[in-house]
Amino acid sequence: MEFQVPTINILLIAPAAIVAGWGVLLMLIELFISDEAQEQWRQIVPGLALVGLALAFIQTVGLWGYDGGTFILADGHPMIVVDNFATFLNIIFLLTGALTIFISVDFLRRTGLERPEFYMLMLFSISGMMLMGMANDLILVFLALELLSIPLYIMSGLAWPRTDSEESAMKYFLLGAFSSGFLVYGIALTYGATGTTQLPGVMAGIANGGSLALAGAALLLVGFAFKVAAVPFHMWTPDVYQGAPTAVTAFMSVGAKVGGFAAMLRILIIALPGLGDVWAPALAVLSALTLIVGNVVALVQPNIKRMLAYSSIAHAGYILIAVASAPASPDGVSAALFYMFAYLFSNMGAFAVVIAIERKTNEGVMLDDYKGLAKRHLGLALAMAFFMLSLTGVPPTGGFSGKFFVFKAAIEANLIWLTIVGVITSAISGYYYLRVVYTMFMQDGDGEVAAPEALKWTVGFAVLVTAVLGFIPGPWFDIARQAALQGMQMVAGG
Amino acid sequence: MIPLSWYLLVAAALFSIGLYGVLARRNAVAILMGVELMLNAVNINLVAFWRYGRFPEQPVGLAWAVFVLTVAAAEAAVGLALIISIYRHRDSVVAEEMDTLKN
Amino acid sequence: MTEQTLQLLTWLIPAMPLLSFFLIMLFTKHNKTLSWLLAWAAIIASWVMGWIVAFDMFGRDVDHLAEHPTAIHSAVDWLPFGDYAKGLWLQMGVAVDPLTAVMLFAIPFIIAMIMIYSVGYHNYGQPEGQVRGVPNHGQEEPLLSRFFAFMSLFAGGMLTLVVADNLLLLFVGWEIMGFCSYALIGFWYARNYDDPKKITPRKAGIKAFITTRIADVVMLLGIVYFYSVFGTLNFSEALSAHGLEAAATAVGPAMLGVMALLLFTGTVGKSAQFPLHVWLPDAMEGPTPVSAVIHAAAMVSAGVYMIVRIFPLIAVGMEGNPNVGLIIGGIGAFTAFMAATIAVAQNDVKGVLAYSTISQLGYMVAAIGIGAYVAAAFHLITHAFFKALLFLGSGSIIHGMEHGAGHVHDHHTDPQDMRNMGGLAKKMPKTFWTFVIGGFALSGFPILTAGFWSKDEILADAFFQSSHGDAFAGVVFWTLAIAALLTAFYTMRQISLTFLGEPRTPLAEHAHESNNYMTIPLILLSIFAVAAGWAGIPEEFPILGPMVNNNFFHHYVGATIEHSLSELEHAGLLAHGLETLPFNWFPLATSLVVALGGLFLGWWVYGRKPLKSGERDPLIAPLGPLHQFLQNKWYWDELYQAVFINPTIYFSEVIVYEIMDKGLIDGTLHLIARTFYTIGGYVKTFEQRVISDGVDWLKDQFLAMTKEFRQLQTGRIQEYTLVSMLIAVALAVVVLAINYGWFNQLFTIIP
Repeated sequence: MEFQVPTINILLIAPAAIVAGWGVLLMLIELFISDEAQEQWRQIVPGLALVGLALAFIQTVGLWGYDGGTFILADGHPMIVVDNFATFLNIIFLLTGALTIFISVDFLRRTGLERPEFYMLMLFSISGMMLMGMANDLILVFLALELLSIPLYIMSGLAWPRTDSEESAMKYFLLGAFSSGFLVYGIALTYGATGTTQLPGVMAGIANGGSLALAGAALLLVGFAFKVAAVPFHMWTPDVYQGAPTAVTAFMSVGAKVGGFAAMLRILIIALPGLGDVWAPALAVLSALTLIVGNVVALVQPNIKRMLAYSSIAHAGYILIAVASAPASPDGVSAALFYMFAYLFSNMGAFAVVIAIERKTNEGVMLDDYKGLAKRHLGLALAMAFFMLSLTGVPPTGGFSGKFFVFKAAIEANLIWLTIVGVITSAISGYYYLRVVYTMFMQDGDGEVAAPEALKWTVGFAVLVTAVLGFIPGPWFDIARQAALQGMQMVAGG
Repeated sequence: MIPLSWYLLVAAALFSIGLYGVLARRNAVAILMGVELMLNAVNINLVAFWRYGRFPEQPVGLAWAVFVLTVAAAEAAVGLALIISIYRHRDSVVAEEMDTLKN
Repeated sequence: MTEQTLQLLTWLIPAMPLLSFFLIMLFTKHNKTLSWLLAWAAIIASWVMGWIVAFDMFGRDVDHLAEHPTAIHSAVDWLPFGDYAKGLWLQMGVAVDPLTAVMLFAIPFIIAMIMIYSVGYHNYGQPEGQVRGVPNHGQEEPLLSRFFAFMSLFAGGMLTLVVADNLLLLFVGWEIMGFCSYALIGFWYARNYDDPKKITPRKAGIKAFITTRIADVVMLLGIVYFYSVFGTLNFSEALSAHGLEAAATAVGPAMLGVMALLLFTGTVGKSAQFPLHVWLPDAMEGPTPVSAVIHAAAMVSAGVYMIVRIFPLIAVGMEGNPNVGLIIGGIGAFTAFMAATIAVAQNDVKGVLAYSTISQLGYMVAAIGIGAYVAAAFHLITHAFFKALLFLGSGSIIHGMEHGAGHVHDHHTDPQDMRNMGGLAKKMPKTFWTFVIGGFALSGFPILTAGFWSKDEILADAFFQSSHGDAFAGVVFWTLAIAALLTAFYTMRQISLTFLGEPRTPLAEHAHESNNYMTIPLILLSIFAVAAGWAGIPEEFPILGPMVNNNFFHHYVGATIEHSLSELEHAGLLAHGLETLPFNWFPLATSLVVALGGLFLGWWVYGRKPLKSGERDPLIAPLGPLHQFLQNKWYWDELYQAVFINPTIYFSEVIVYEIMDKGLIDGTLHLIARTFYTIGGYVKTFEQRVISDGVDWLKDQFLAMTKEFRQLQTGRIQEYTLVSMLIAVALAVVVLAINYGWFNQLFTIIP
């Protein structure tokens, strides 16, 4: 028995390493902050966290086009892959983090939640998400998933001793840990079936894995389905989203979901293509269930955060359509990537508006609080209407382009019935999204709106990107395609 | 030598016991213990697979078991902290009673 | 200037005004000065960039351009249609070929002039008007920012259309303009007239929108058909010899003719050709700069620009189906003639120009119909210059008259009625001289003006075709010649009624010259109204031809189409390519006679003894009922009202609503409802009698489940996990069952 010393190229893991290291650094600095300086420290932490994200962003963008890996073991396979697929996702995660900081600084101050650990935990969670996309080894997937999740459990409970926040954290934690158990069991069975945890190795061995591999794959799927909140493993989502502070909800509604999909895509496409004819129909069924339940239950939600929670479940369903069509359509993975990119901006924008309306923690989050928003703050109301249209999938918005690509992939994969379900549920979703628009524009109401500059610029930026993705989706889809192609090349290259 | 399948069966049984604990126990701490049991069942699997696997010279399974233990410890730390925080002003750690967020 | 820079500039040309629209709407709405400055800055930037691109194109080698006309091209992948692995994308992009270059020379400049003029027209700097949505004479327009926002959006749409490299982007620009046209015609939305018959701006806007929309729907069909046949919407790909050959083999040249006609319908609406011309005269309800930019210089030319753009398709279509040429040429010539006759009897100063615009657009369409591509394009450009000039001039006249009205406190006399004018030459000298230049250009005053050269070229083309045995071209030739005579006549009539003699009302007596914002654009435009024609003097023209010696326009724009048509000829799709016209005295003499004759007649009737106050139009007596007929615009509006609108209303109210809706559909629904009620009644009795607790429970469960999945969401973690696990297991069983064919085995076991 001997331990191998892997070859390490630190520059390649720099994006994730910078983010994680920056979080550690901030925590260490905080130890030395005197009580008098606490107030100033709180003022500058968000800025410092942004600097860390920016540094990582620069490094990430610089890696665009790189195709390789690091932590290369003796057998030649890297633990960590850096390719366009990972880079594309890393950009999504870093943007999610940056947008979250922009919309939450004022919110946290206003609601008395200005706790520096929020930003540090977020940095840790982002580094976990980034590793999800870069992982080429099941062990790393598991570790990254935990690195992603554990900070999120704590963040959900940030508003302690508020009951709802604590309850949300507790539920998230118990179900998260529970699903980790399934995931890791699935990984263990896969390891047993193939003798390795390296994704390329798993791919090679899975064909002879027999029922052990099949059970492993199924358990993996359950684990990821919990993470991305696919029906029937979605039930924690509404409770957690509703109870957590809205800034955290915004962050995890995009970050955690995309993180889950990142690893899911990698594993399904690279490691388990041999079982494609098993998992693709299973995912198609999951996707249909997710679409129906997510969209139908969202119809009756009077709480906007809960409504957006069900909406995020429904969007997971659309992404699952793309994943399910990935084995049979060349566009499946790229459609999923593009969809997540468009979803990031529409959803973050919508949550930014929710944050602007929310007066105290979890007060002012009912649909009724949006009455007459058009008269109180026309700009925000218009932006919210735009995001709602985008989430519904009305052209010309990023949401429409995303759905277009997803449905196109599904049709190419001959999943016509799933496409029909998708289109019908999109139409249903129009009801609850447009109800928000109706409430804002057609009904009268009053109440304060807290829209500081940072939030307004974030909303403006999200509107702009959503509009650009709607008007000229081509170039962006092309980028997503490059990312997807490199992600899938590993299949060919072994 | 004991065949591999015995280990797997023990692990599966342990996993199921953990699962039952999660589903049936009312106390949040007990639920957490159930989760830990599930994770440790996996550890048995991992070590057994390594020992009986094709590449026993690569200590992947062993290393991994260590990782899982570590993660389980971290989870337990966070989980217990949450439970304590809840206990402080609810005087209860019954999971079923945490149902203010629903429908 | 590198290619990349030029490509970037081409993108920026439409982008600048669009950006200005958003900036004004979002940020500077409340600051009028900033708003119009933004609009100015954007359109002037577009103008400068347009000229940089245009002159770069003018400087390129003509022979090389002929073979590769799309010299500047840049496109982005827009949507993947078909197999993306093969690179099949629907692309959106901009392209500049010689035709675009000359458009870029003319259009941004004209729009910029009109933007400058608008600031003066809306009395910027005067005290602000208090009433929104009506003209505030002599006071600053309260909605000035909105005006400039829409003008910018309009400019963006027009420039998008000009630089578009594909039919869809062209259509996008087309529709943006359609919307702006609607918004700007109805700009004074609150205006009402005493005379209930007179159309209000609001209604005029709706009328314009709906009329053109009818045509656009047909055009959209054409675009869809275009895509399905060519597999691309890109002009240079689809309309190349190769593309047309493939298409002609696929569906036959006759069907290409049908496609051309579908697209041409868009032109009929947009360029106000018979029978959809009725909206344009009413569009004069908008502010005069709007009339100038939208309904003279830019938007209505878009229709003609589009058929010029797809000319190779039309040429092949005409070859395959002669009716195509007959329809296009016939509509054009008829429109040219009809509108000219109507213009003779109009009294509204803008009304005359509106019909004159319709008539001149008819010229261009007729030119396309007989295959005179270059002449149509040439007239398109020159007409844009002098018609913008004339409209702005008329706006200046109205402005002066309104000033007089404000001076004498008379708000009942119509300041737009030419019968109330007279003698304005002395009051408004700058307006007078520029208007004369524009009017003479419109009439085709020989040698000097742009209108002469372009109109002469159309006539020469028609004559050449007819002398080669094309009887239809002969008809077109004579129709257009008579229309030209009428054009000169009504132009002179307009000049005489407006400017000559003595003031006939106190309004005209107290009119005075407009401010510099308005007169400077007039002067600049008048230069081009004269000079633009010199780019198209035929080489063989005595004395002048050899002097100017290049017939730049014909060579530059014509070379492209010559090349493309000769390729089509080689491909066997055309009998003959585009030929350079031999010089002929006859059409030239005709042009001279009709232009000078018309002007002379006009002067003889109106200018020699200018109308006195209260005198009737001297044409009324000799023409009698015919004058009535012309003054009422051939009764087209009344005809449409009787033939289309009233029957439609009747149909929808009586047949659809009363009979179908209330009778048939409601009846059916009631029947179904009654059936169900009856069944429901039975079920109810059945339930009441048979129901036991178990059935009741089942029903409740079902209702609860279907009504709200929410019930599942109990808030209890362990129930969540349990439900998840149960469903997961069920799913796994189903998936496995499907995969391993358990169901099939089941059925084989059971049989």
